[in-house]
Amino acid sequence: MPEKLGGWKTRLASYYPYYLIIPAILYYIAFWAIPAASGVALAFQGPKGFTLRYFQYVLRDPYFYQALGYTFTFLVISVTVEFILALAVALLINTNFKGASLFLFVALIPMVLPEISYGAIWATGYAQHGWVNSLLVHLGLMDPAQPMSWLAYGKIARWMALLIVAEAWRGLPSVMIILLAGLQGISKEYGEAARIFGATGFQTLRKITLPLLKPSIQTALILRAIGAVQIFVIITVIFGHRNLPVLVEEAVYYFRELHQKQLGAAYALIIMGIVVTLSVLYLWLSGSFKGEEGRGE
Amino acid sequence: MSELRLAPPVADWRRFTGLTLTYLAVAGLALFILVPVYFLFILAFMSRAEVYSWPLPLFPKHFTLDNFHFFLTINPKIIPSIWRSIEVAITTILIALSIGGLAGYSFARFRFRGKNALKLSVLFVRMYPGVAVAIPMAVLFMRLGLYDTPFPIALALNYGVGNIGLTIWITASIFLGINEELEEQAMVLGLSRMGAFFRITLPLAAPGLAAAAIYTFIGAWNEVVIATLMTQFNPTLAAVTYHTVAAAAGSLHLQSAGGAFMAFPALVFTFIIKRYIIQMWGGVRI
Amino acid sequence: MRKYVAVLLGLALFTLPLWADTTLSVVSRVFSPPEEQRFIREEIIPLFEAENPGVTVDFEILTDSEMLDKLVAQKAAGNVTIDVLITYVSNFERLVEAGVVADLTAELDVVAPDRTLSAGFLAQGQFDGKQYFIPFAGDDYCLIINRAALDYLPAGVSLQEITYEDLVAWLANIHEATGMKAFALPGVRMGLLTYIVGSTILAYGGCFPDVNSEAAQAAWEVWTRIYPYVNDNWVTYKMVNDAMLREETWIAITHVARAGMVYLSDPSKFTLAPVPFGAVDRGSVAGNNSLALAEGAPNRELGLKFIEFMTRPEIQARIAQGVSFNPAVAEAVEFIPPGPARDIIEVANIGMTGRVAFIPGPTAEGGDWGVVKQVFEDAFYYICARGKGVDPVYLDMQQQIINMQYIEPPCP
Repeated sequence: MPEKLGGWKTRLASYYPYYLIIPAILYYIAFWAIPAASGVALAFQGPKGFTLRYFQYVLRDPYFYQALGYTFTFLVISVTVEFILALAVALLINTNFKGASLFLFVALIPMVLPEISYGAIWATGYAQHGWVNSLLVHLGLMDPAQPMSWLAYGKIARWMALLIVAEAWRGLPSVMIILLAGLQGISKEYGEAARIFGATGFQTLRKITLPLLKPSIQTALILRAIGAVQIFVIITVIFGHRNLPVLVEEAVYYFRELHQKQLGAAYALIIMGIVVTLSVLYLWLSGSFKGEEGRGE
Repeated sequence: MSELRLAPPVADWRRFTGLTLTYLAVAGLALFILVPVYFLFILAFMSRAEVYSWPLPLFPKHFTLDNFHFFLTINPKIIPSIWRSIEVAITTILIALSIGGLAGYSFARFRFRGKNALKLSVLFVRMYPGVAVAIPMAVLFMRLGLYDTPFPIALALNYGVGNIGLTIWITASIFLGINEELEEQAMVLGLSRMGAFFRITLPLAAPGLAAAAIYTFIGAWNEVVIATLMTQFNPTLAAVTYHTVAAAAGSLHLQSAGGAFMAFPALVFTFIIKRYIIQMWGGVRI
Repeated sequence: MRKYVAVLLGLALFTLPLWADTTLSVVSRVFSPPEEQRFIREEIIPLFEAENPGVTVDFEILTDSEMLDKLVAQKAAGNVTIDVLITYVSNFERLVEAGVVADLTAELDVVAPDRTLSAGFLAQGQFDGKQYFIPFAGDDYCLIINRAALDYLPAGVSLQEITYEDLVAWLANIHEATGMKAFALPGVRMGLLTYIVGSTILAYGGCFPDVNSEAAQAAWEVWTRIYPYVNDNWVTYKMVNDAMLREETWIAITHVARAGMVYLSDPSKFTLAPVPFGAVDRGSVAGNNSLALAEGAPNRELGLKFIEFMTRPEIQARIAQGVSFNPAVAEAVEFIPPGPARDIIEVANIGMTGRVAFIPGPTAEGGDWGVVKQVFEDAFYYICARGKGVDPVYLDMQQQIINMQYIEPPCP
């Protein structure tokens, strides 16, 4: 948007973007920043005033590095898997095939179910006498006398895979609707034009659709990545605390199980630091910080 | 259909395989999504003995509604909590869409100093683990006299925090995709910026707003931790369901019924709102 | 559409007068299974409401940490709405330290006249000579057994006199005959594992919480022999209930209330037995669920009345007949006729005849029972799951961590 200079009206208008943001900022200050500040302060509150000992403790805790490793593994694999699946679902729905609307509804169901159902579905699915094994028995693929122990102790790689499957099921819709909403905004004419010029479906996708979808992809990836780092409820429901330690689960463990709130608060800050760094890095690498222009690209 | 008949045979064949592949992919994905859902739902219609039998039958042998009856009568707060949960969810949507949508529009349309930093910082609230703010936040709302009020305004304000940032990002990405020239043309034709926004941009942004609304509704509908902390005699459905049927081991049949019951209104809402997500380009005439 | 809204509005208005009179707010961590909640709401609470016209009791289940968080937040905001809480011994010290429970020393005659409260349980509820907690339900450990397992019981072994050695032989028989790893152990962190292993250590002559004495090492050694027969999925068992109901496993040592719940679900399928003998005696950790009054409770007098009501022998007996429950009031047992309810109390009582230890609340500044549990869990994972064996050096280190939670070492 070209800016004209001069005149108080214009100058006032140049603050326009801020007016629109001010309500959000005030809201955050009132209802988040103030309570969060006391949480932050907790992390520095030693018995004798200011201290960094809780951060030192966390950084010396072997579980921290395990949690960091598992969180990153989970983050990278699950966001990739969910993104690919979600993009496939969104593109399928966007072809507007017969039944697309119903399929959209089906694809949203896992996200809509309450957390207790989510936990119950997978915890009882992976149990030795659970529905996954029951299904396999009914299909004749398993001997009921020798059911598989999906959750056997120490099979970390398998556990991670089980977690990623469960989370892909749950998280797919949340990525998908953002991508689909973005796809709705892209004119079909672009695609049709490309096809007239002889582009294959894949070429159209890579050269036309994905670049135009970039803002939505970015939003979906960032929101999903933040969600992936925050994962903990499903882990504690299926595996319990500390069997597959991840960062937020550890913070919760300190807060709720060991009642060491200062350590929990330190953990929370470290987690936030990591996520902020990652997000900045991602946005910077994807070129979003090239000047503060109106349109992202 | 007539289009199909006119097309040459080669394209016909290509279209056929394309459709087959589409439906195969759809079937595969639908199966992955629906099999777990199916098991959750049938568990809700089985007795405890059947829920824990091995191997679990593929269909309830003794279909029963007892679990739902049990769930609805276990705690007198359940029925009133349904309406309260709807209130929370709708109020949260209003907060998130109005405040978040405005800011999202601003981020998409204007350039200004500090934009990127601001846009990122609205996500801080989602990056900072909720467990660390829950108690101070509860104390804040209690001091404001908003603890356990019959109209759950404190919960809506609380859930707004997480959802405004999300709405900002979703709506911004949608507004970015909407051609700005449309708006400028409308302004040239004499509409104010506000007018152009409401007449042109907002309808085009409906899919994004609908997506944000679904996110927000589901988040508010299902939230347990804050609702437990912030209510006592006036809980939400999620909080009361969690504490009546999900907190103990060995009650999977009731837990499934409670979960299925809770899921129903959310599914209805999603069913209604989904049509705004696939409002196809061209559906809106300009 | 408008019609539905009207109906819903009507419902909302209709339910408002529910809380018009005095409402006594009771939060509890016991009776969390849905059937038990309903029993308490429908069979027990109306009795109290009938005695106190105009009073409604609001009975809610909260987990330990939810209860603590809520009380702490309410106290900080100066707006306490909870009156009575039912909590577990491992939370006592946290609640007292947070200053959210009222001192009931002067009210003892009011809340528990003419009845015998276990001296041990009462002592657990005392801090600095002040009585904060009134015992409500006792608990210790016992065996819960699927009757299918009885076919493989080694010859000459009686369930009433079973030892840990017998248990190992029994599990080995089952494994040999069926290939099944039949023992259920709740491996999820901050669960019951500490108390189960602690009970074994007591049975071998040790103390609780002690992980490194010779007796404790003997107990750990037994666990390394039980471990091969522990179901592979143990680490994800929060409670053994689901695994026992699903019949993934046949035998477990667990908390009497949990065992009772499984037993009551089908007494023809399950049976109970007392906790096994070790080299020295039976051993069981004992804990208690107690009643307390919230500091600053809005209905203090009524809250005290409710505590008195819940410790009344008839009421305790009535509860025991409806749900899995082990009365903390001695006189209650007389009121309970023979039957499944009585069976549960009997195995619990036999458990109390051996070497019993109460859960000692941490005394050191910042000490926390959670840390002690973590030590037991870490040690179990290290010794059994990771197969490191009984390593005295490691155990000495772990004992140091336990001792740091106390001013005086709990096991000299």
